[in-house]
Amino acid sequence: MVQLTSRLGSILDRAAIERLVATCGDGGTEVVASLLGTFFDDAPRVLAGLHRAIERNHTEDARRAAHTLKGNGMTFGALFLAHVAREIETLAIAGDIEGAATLFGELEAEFRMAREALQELRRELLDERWCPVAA
Amino acid sequence: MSGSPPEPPLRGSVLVVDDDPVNRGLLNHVLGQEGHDVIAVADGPQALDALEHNRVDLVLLDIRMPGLDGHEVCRRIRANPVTQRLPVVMITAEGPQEKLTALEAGADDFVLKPFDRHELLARVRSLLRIKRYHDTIEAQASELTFQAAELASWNATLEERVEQQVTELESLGRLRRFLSAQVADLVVDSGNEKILEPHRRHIAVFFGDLRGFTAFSETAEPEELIGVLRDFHQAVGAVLTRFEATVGYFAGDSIMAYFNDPLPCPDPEAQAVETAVAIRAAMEGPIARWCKFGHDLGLGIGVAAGYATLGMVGFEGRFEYTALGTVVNTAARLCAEARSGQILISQKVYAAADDLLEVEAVGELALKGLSKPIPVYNVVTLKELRPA
Repeated sequence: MVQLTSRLGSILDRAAIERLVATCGDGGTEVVASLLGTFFDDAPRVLAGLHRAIERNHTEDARRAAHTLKGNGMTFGALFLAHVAREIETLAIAGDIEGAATLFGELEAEFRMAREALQELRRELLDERWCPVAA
Repeated sequence: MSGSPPEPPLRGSVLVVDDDPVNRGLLNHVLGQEGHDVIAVADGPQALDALEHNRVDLVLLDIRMPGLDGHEVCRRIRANPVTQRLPVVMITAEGPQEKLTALEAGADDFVLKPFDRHELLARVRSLLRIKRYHDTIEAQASELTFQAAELASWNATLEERVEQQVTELESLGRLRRFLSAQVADLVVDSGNEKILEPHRRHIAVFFGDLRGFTAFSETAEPEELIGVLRDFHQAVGAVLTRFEATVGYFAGDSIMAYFNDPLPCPDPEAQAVETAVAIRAAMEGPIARWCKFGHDLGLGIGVAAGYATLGMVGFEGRFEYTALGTVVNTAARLCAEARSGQILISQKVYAAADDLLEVEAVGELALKGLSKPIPVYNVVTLKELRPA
């Protein structure tokens, strides 16, 4: 089990990251670092899409964007991000675009904090000399 | 330890369909590491396109996608006969409703997000194993269908051949009554039944007759009568077959045969005379034997040549292949004139075969049915048979 340290550890659920590294098997730290890179590139696009969907009253598009961000949040242990995204998803399913709109600002804030923590985590993954420990 | 050989590693080509690049990257890595070939696409249309152009053994399908969602993609995969049985694993979020919907859309299995590595790989392996079984069964079924078709085809051919042979045998049956066996075979083989229609041909005709038979039959015991006829038929029959004669009739103490019809014969006069000589020789033994029993019997033969009309004559159910003409009449009369041991031939026959024959002139005979007398010869022997 890899012990990861992060000054902003309270934002992230470490167990999730550790599970993700384990899931990736050999060379898991590099893979997770790469996946984080993909997330950093893609998430802003998804957020922008969510915003557009809210503005245009496209409940289905809004639902899908929120669902994606929820999934990514859960994957990387960014639980607060995941939580707000789920709330927006639920509102979009119910057709409540206005409700979704009110939560968008909070979602953006959670995303920024999660990204900062994850960027630091990524540096740690890339710098870490990791020796597998037999289970 | 079980004796069965180890299963080849279950590896396959996996199509990953997910609009989230993080998920695509993750699945690509995990599956690739396990030895599977991964094709990763971002939406439904790309997925259906990939299925058309690549060999895919399993599909990992996210539900929430723009445009065609996962359920619809799954339904289309199932609707296509080519991909009907392709294993499809839906990637679903938590909730029994989602799982049920996935199964109803035709998914074989599902994994929850975020997924557990071992569970994912185990489900993939399990479905690949099932697909492998299905592929084997399909290949075997295909093979069986092919073999069944081949068998049906052979049966049809066999039926055809049997039918053909039955028809041949029927024709043969009709022809065998007046052709020797091998002649009948040749006619049937040639497939030319036109010979049965009336036509004119130059033939050589042979008539043979047992001298003293009428008197003999009046006094002889039935067994003796049958015995004589059996000897006669056996001796003569063998010769007729050897010389490929067409038998006009061969009943009781008389025989009529001819040459050059229906089968062509290059030298019918010579053939007829050689047959006559052979028959006379073959009958020496039986005649001597009968004599010992006190039966005064002998063989007279007449041979003539000329044009005749030949073909099937009669009516439905009673057709006979017949030769009609003066030549037939002449040969019959010559036979009637012949004494025991004589082979009487007409001028025409002598002219055609004189280099083969040693003859003695019998003189001019007036034969019933002929307008004027004709020169007649008796065949003494074949020149080649003359002792040196």
